[in-house]
Amino acid sequence: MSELRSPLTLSWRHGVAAAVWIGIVLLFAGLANAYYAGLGATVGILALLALGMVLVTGYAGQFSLAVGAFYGIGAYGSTLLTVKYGWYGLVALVLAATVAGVLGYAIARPLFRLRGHFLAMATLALTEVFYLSVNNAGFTGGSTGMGGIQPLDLFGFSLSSSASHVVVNWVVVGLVVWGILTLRKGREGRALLAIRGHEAAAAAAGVNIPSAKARVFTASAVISAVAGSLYAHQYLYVNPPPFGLQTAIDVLMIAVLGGMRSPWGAVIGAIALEVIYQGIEAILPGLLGTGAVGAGQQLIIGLLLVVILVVRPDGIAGALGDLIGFVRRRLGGDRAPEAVAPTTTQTSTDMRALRRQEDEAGPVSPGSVVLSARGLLKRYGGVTAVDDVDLDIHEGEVLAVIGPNGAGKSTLVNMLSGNTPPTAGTVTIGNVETTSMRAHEVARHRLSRTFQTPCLFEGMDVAATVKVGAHLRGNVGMLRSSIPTPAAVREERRLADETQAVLTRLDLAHLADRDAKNLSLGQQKIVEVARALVGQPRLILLDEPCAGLNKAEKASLMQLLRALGREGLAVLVIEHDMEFVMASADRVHVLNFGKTLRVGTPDEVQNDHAVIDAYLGVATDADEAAESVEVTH
Amino acid sequence: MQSVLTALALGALYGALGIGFVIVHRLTGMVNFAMGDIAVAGAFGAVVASSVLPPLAAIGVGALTGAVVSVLMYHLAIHPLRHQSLMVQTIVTLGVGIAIRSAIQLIFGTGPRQFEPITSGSSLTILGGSIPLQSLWLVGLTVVGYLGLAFFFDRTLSGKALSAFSVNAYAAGVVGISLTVMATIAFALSGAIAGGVLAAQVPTSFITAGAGLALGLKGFIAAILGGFEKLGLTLVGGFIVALVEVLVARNVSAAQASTIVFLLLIVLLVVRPQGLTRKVAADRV
Repeated sequence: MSELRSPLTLSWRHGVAAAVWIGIVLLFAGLANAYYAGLGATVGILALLALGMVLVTGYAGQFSLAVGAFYGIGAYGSTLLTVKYGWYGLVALVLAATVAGVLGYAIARPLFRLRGHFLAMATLALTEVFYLSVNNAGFTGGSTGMGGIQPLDLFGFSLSSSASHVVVNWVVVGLVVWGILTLRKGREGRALLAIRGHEAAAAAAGVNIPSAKARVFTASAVISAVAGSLYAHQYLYVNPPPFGLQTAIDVLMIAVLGGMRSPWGAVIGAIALEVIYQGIEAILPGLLGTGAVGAGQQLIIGLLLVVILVVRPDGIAGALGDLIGFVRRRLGGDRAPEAVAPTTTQTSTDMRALRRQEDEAGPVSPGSVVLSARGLLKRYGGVTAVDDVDLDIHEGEVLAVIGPNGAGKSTLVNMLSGNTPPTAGTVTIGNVETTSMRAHEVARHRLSRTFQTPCLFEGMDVAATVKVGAHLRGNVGMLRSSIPTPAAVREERRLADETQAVLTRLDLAHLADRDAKNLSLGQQKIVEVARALVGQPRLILLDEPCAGLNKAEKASLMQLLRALGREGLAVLVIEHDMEFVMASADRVHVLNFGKTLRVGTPDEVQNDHAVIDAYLGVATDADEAAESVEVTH
Repeated sequence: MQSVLTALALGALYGALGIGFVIVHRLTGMVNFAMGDIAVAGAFGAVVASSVLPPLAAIGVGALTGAVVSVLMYHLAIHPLRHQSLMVQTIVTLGVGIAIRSAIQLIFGTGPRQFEPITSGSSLTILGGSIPLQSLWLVGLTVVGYLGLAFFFDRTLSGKALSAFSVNAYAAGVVGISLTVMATIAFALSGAIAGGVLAAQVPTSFITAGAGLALGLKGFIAAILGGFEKLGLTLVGGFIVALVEVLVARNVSAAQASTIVFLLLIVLLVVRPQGLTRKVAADRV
């Protein structure tokens, strides 16, 4: 998606798009007869509900069926407030939406501790609870429902005609589509996509996952509630069935039909579903008799859901996207620019020579301690993965952590970065104890990291992936990400510039618009390093960055680590490639069976008998071992 | 006492549905949202069979119907999507559930259906409460089903193979255990126990086409209480759900019983997703 990369701006194009949108809506409202206008208005409401689902399920990847409940809160809220308490319609709408938002935020925190099926089942139960409650409660009119609500009054202009419903509903849809599209390009949208892609990596980049999920759920609850209020003012009557599971399934169907990844999917899906319903109503009575329409419709919807998922899991929007891509390629030849890597001037890949060269470039002078761990211990059941490890990392030094497979290296790093809580011991960054902090809180103390297997985000290009790492460099929230203020636009530009600088430094600029997941393993590793660097950390943890890198790439990574050290960064690197480790490290920390075996300079470690034994697994003759200084992997 | 006896029969039903959830989840990692509707399909299979067969045989047909529908669902809808995300697979089971529910409604209408109990005669009286004989059959059937499954999983080679598969599908594949065959067995067993037990309940109350959703949700709570892992604890969980439902219906209001049970589901998921076990099932998905 190239739109991810293009910086957020307000331009004349937005004006044109808005004018075209309003033009189409007005044209439809003017031309359609009352029946079709009514249908059009209803489709608009369903599109709004589906947009709420795109936010939570499509963007953040959390499967929620709670839409029915919040839709109902909007509809019943508006009805109760205007009919029973005589409130002005718009004020009632705002209050109902606020109630839905507050409730959504309140339940989101505990609810989103659940994942996958369990979240789906809990939200399904939530919708069912709402349905049963209004069905049984006296003040909502029970199963018969409530009438008496008046058309929405818009500052003296009563919206009573179907044409006016079309205009209002679809203008709101247009606004929400625009907001969701804009959100995607902004800081919070990227964070949501990152959560969908890989939660641990998002947290390591400083994304507060529970908060982001709660806020996007709240936004979706507000959108659903507004849709409910519009429904009430359009139909002038509310009863329980539209707010039960049926609607949740319809909305899911829309999202599946249209595709969940884009707000356009919601719009396309809502229209497509209505076309299908109309088709069923036209054909089915002839086939099965009029009595069978309700169940027959459901049967077809259920079957369609299955068939579409089996045939085309990304929906109509996905199919259209492929088609557009195909046509473009046909028309413009293959215009996808060949990614040309800048020709590397580097000829030598001799690590030792390069290290000498690097040392001449400027001395590394280790400064004060950045991170200090004391007595770190991690037990998994009966297995002690890390056993009482002390570790200090200084400003401006490269510390390598080595050890045989299963020595506890990754577990150690996970504890330092807050991804795994230690069983015992403390971690201090600067003067702050971060032991019990979660990953996104630790990241705020300017620690960033990469992962052993690259954790990139699906459907994101390299530039956006790296920009996720700059999450803490900005502070624009969800609202300002969807409705960009000048300050938000400025911030986004700054983040784009900072990202560009890091991409250039790591020779990734030519890959900026490639899908990060389609790169080679080595390139993915470097993208992760870029994502870690763009947050401007003072401490960076690299978990096996060399896996998948060729010799030249390893050499330039080694030079990068040396340069980072000279710039005053503290670097911790886990690596198996001993040539790389010995060339890049100032100090080496050897782990074996979870315990510290030795800490020292590369030379000291290379000549240490215990280390050699741990690697070779045999107790060799001391003299022989001392001579075979080359510890190979 | 009457509440306990009523809950015993109802609980066996919820427990059986819960076991259906657990088997499929243990072996495939999925939650089958069509579980309740598959059970209802089984019950209607028994209703049809009861017109020509004696009740016990009809219940057997119910179990068979449940198994067949369940396996068909796996092969037609889930197997083609095995490389998709769990979310897509979940949505597809929702779709299948709707399709089954509305197909039954199209064929049988929305009205209640019933057939004759296995043993006629007046209810048994125990400690001041009464329980219909058919309910004893239901409880018995559930217990037999549970014992059979427990024996199968812990004692037989196929059962152990299934368990191995659930621990690590890749490793199981390497040693020659077929993913498709195992999943087929899982879906067949889960459909059979849910369909058979619900069919056994039909003579004491009745069955309607739309019953699947609520039944599925209650069976799901039982499965949660069993940690989505332990069959025995799932049965206990089913009894707890039924007891809460019966007590609320008796002491508060029958209309609110389901609302409270579903609220319980949400609270339970949030507060104690590991149910009665010590392990957190929610972390596995």
